[in-house]
Amino acid sequence: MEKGYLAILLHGHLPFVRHPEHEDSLEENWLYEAITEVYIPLLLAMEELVADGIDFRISFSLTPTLASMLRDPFLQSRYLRKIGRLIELAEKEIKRTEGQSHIQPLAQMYHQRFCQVREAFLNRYHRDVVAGFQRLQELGKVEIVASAATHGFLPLLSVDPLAAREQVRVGVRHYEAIFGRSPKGFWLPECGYYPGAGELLAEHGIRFTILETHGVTHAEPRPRYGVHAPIQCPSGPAVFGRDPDCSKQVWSSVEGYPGDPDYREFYRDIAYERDVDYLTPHVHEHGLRIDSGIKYYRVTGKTEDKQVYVPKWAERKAEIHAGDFLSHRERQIEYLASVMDRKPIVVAPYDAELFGHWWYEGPLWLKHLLRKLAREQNTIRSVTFSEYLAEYPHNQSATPAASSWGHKGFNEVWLSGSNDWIYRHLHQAALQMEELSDLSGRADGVKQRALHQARRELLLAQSSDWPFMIHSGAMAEYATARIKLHLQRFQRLAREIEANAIDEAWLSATEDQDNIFVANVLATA
Amino acid sequence: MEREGPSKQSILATVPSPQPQAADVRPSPGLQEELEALPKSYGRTTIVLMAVDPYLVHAYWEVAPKELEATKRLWDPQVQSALRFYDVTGIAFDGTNARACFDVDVQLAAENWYVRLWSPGKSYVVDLGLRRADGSFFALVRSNTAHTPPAAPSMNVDVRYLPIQVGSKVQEMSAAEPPVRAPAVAIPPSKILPPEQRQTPGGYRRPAVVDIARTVWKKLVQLYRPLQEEKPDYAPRPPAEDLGALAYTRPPEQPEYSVPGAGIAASAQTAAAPLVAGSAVREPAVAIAPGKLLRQEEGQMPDEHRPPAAIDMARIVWEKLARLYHHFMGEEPGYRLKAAVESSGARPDIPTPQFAAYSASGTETSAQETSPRFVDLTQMDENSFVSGVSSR
Repeated sequence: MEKGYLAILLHGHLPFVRHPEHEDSLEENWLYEAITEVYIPLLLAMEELVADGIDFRISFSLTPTLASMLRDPFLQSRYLRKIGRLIELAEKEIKRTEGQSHIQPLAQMYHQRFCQVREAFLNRYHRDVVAGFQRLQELGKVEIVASAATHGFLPLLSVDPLAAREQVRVGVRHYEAIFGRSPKGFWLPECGYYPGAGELLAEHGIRFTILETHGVTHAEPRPRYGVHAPIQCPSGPAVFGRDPDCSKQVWSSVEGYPGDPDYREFYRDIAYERDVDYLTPHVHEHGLRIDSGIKYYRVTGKTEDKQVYVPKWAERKAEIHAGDFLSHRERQIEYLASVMDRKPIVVAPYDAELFGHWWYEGPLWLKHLLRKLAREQNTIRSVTFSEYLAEYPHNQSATPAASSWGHKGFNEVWLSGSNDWIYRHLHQAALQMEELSDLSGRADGVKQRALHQARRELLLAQSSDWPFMIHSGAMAEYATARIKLHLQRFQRLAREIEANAIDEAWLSATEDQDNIFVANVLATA
Repeated sequence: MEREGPSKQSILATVPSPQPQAADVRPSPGLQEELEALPKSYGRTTIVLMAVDPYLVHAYWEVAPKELEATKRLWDPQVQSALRFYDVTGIAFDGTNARACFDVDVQLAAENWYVRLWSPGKSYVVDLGLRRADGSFFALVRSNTAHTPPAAPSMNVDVRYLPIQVGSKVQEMSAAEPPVRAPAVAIPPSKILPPEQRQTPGGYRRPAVVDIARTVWKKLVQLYRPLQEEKPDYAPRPPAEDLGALAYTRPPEQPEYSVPGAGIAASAQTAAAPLVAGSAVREPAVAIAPGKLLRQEEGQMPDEHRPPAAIDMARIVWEKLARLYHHFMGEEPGYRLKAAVESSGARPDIPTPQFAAYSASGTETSAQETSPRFVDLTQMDENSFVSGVSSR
């Protein structure tokens, strides 16, 4: 009989990036890297556990933007083109590293890996990665939670409550359209909670969400069990809090596992070492140097002199670290169970991108962890949030505190000197959208299409990724351009709708390009 | 799915070559729109307040020009645009019942402002408006309510449980709308005292009032005295023979600076000594530009040269504090003039030579009430003070 539970949640999100107007888009590569390094390896790891008869539970959040991109035929074919090019690059590397006895096996390893991924993408998942997750959900091993339509940061959008509601409504509708069932859980973007979010989630039938540690520990009144049991919002949803002991140990490259000397070094990609002519067009048509995914060096330590990666050592380390994590959790849960009058739950949410992209051995670590959880001990069991709530439906009532899991724990990342200028435009656009929907009433035909497209443009402008990128400085111009573009398209659509003079050709072109969310999902019943 | 190092041939054999269909990979004509700048204004007056973290809020606003024009008739030359914050934590704000209120001066043209706060877990509404020199404030627009998050775990450790109603909403007080809180009643209704018991018993002593002004005054005395003693700059009267050719003496009755609004001359004529007997004399700064180096015979100070007025920082600060203190004394009913204290029968035996002017004679009192009197701290000690609070 277990003494406590471990709930791991992997949050899978990418901003909606789709550029059919570019022959080869730099930013679309985020999706392709994620498919190659994160999502397919995770799926393969979990399916291996299923095949071995291991019982495990893990939760995922697949945001509507990521899910839409994974299911978009245009992006799927672009991905095939990309993985094909990577396989060719790996073949060139195998030839090039002829005679280098330490490096050539790595080139072969990557070639094999890329082929495996492509084969799985085509034959196993039939180009639809989301279906792979759906299958695991149907097997009962995975619970997928919904998230906001375009991952808008709700605390700052909630100045206009209808804008926040639209993000949640469309996100839930999209989930229902894809998975054919109502979501029980909801991932608040960036764990951004604000007073009123509980009611909003309750309106859409959400039973639980997950917040950052201090969202629960600063709740009113103080939760009796800290983050080791959920609290119940007065409005209905249960709220789980992130366990702080689990976090840095796993994601920090300084203090945690990913910084181990034997793991693969992220910043030594061959794309920055080979000739541009050699790389083009495998990496990018115009010879831009972006990560190829082929990296031959390991972390080695705090030094610039990186040593060659040894896969066997890394695999062994992943297993050791899985055992280490598990033993920490065992001791933690034994202690907690001794002072609590119910079974504690340790909640460990992470960005899915950590597992495979930033931390190459992440999926392997996860696989070892879930296997050890099932086979090597009895103290802890992995669990989904719904299962825990089914066992403990009565929880302490408390109002969570406004918080986020961004840097410094509140809203600073999305509201600081570099990006505060966007909000007057976003709030104004949200107001305009309300007016438009009121005015148009029973619109149909072109006007209805224009209204839907205006909604799409507004949702795309509200994505929290743009202010995040502007704040962090990485891809800041792209993010600024995206906000301006979507707001500009929105303003134009608003003007044309009000004037009843809609440019159909332009509307069709815009629909082709920003094609997130079908009309059913957007329609306000 | 482990495979030995595959050759190109075997790959083609096992995996159908992914010839992308022509329709799939075709890039669409694309829109390639020119990106214009976002609109500078939307033509309406609005202000929005958002919390950044427990101690910081951000406000952005826009004022429609014609609305601003319409208010111009109310302005005076020193009109200052300000954000008036209302602390509305836990109340339903109707414009008049804020818990607290403070102004933050801003520049209207900035169109946004960050305001640092000192207390977390509160709700604020802010008015953007203009404040005249006389303190009157007229608001242009009122913002939404922003809630700053708590910064620490709650002190409240009550434990409540609510049943989950699966599939229906639980009707409970919503966190989004903090309810109007009834004032906490210390005596539960069943224990209201009957009228005959509602008298203060005879032996009742009012608790000692914390005499803040006295505490501050004592502190100031302690701080100021070492300044007087230690620093020669602030010595009462410099010996004239030490300064040589450049020395000058200033008659002590005529300070070379003036304090606005103070009857310095009047005070100098009375028995009370000026704040610092004599002045702080500084070496006058003689500015000789390099190009104008004087010849030997010209190196003497001409007779009509007046050294620039020395700035006696300590005195200016002291005067400011003394003005504030006297102002404070004048306003607090507890700190009424000694005349009032004596008439009420409080202890008169505290020696207060400096307050002699505030004696029972009414005319002198009223004359002195408005002008600040400077007291010589060297003559005062910690007890030279009258507390106006009488203990009944």
